[in-house]
Amino acid sequence: MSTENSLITEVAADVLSGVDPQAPTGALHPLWPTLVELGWPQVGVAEARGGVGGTLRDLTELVAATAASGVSVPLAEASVARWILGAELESAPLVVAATSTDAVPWARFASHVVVCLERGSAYLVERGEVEPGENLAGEPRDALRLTATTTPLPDAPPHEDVLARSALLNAAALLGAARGAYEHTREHVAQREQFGRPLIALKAVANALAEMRVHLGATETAVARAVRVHEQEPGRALVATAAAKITAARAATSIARSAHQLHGAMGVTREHPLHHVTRKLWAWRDECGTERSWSIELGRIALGSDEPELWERTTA
Amino acid sequence: MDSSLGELRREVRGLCREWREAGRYRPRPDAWLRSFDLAFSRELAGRGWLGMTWPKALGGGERSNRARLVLTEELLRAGAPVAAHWIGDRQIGPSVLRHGTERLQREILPGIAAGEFVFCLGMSEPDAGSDLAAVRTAATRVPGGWRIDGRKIWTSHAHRATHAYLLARSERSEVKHVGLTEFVLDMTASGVSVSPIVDMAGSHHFNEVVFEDVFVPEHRVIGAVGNGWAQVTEQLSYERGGPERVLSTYPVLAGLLDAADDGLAAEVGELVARLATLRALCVQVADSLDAGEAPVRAAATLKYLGTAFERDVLECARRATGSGVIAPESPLGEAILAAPGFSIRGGSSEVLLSILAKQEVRR
Repeated sequence: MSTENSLITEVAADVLSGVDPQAPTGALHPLWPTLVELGWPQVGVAEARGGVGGTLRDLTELVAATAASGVSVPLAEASVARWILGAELESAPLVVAATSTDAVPWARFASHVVVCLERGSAYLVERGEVEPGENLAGEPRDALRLTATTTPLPDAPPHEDVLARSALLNAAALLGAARGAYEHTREHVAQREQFGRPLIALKAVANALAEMRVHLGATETAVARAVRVHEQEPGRALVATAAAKITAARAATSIARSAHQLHGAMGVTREHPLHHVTRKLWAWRDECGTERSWSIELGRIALGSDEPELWERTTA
Repeated sequence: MDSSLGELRREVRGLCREWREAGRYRPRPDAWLRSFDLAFSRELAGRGWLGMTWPKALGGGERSNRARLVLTEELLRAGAPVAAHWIGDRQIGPSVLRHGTERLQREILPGIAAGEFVFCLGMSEPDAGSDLAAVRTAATRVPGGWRIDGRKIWTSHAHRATHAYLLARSERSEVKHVGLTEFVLDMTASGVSVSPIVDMAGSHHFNEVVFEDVFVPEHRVIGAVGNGWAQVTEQLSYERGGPERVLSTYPVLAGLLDAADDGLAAEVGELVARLATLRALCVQVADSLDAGEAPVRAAATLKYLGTAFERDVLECARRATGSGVIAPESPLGEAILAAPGFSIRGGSSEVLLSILAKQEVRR
């Protein structure tokens, strides 16, 4: 990580260290009001639009750090909603953004939802009744019943931009959860003794840990690249996001598998903190567009291009 | 950042197109190891593209590693015949620059930069493959220098090389990592003999090189006597971080864009995502080198993931073939038969994982 962002990482570490990831049943995590007070959902949103300054990169660091701690909060979803709405509804307790209506993240805790469907213009809806659902990480993913009045948002960014920003934050969250899973595992294999020595002394264990590190490194690189493209060449943001999202999702699968394999039976209990990150890896890899749908999208773009386009516009 | 990178990119593309259209080369997978054309290497030298990061006084261009990445990427993308200068430009030159005496630098570097010197790598031996520290080739002190006796194998292009890099044992030691020394040898020296080792595709780039009582003058030692292990592992970590660890099968991937149907879209998309990430990793490695850092972890990560990517490109291309028959001399056929080497040369994937694991335990 470059020094430029070390301040935000330090702030995040201060806020998140020692926090128990387990949230009480039926309520938002008690850390959430603190994050709102600190303005985290407004980081990376222009000040003219109700933001608190900071860059998109700062925001992705906060999202990643939160995920790494294992805490579940609607940071990414609230942040995207704030980015769409600007100063509107500033005092509402929680507004989340969604690109579909059947699995809206955190809907039950929100007062409003910003809905950006694939074909159609964005609108704002008061939450109303929801059909509760959850993802593999136990996070609310509720179906909206669209009975309430909807307010069109003619100035909202197009669906594609909302999807690109949501998926970028999803990739950053996967990166964070992967960092968390990696750190838990690294500590575990260094400390846990079996066969009379630390697990890391076994070649197979050391190699599996190194392979986790390799996938983590690739994800760091892919997310950093996508953030840079969002900031500097917004016209290519969707393609760069696709690459980051796919890289992060692949890493999620591999890292979660190895993390559990290396933790042995120790890692499968409710009591052990590992599941707070691995369940997120399993849940998030197919959210904000499944890994497969992003792969097909990127594959079609590539197959519809010639080689120079692949080289210059898709992968550079 | 080097402001003329775009211009450099266009120039490299132009040159490759010109040569290709004139029928002077055929784009091939694994061209950096297999496509040997001294005329092409000298053309690059004439444009200042060999040793381009080295000091001008030594024949270099004093450009950034980022600029060199632009050059190497575009050459590999074009499948251009770059094998003649690849080893000297990529690793022996930089190693001599880091550790060699001024005399050795003046003797060797301008020759590589001019495309006059062709290097082969005397590292592996019959009993020292992945376990490089097990080398037995002996360097014995004699008046004025050293006498070399031993055998190297899997030495690519030794039959065309003017010079060899050589890792030899200068001291018998309890610990095998101690007592190794690096040398530069003339391939024309008395006592050097080369015999071909043909690979499974029937092509000849590997050789066995035998050294019998070969005299090497003292000033041809690279760095410190006995410090060979530290130097060679450093050399290898630089060697690993280049785009050739990602792009050996690029001509096949480029062909896939026409061959694949929509049923392979998801697979192609995944490969494209991996390529984008790997290219970003190459930039990261080049930037670290420009910042004076040794990107050991990033380079090992790049090679580990890059060679897996190259292999998966071939699997995808195989699924895209209609007839089910792949000719051995087609780009895909050549690549499939070359592919087992990708994750072995320059440090096998297993060795890379060990290197990475050690880094993680240390921190």
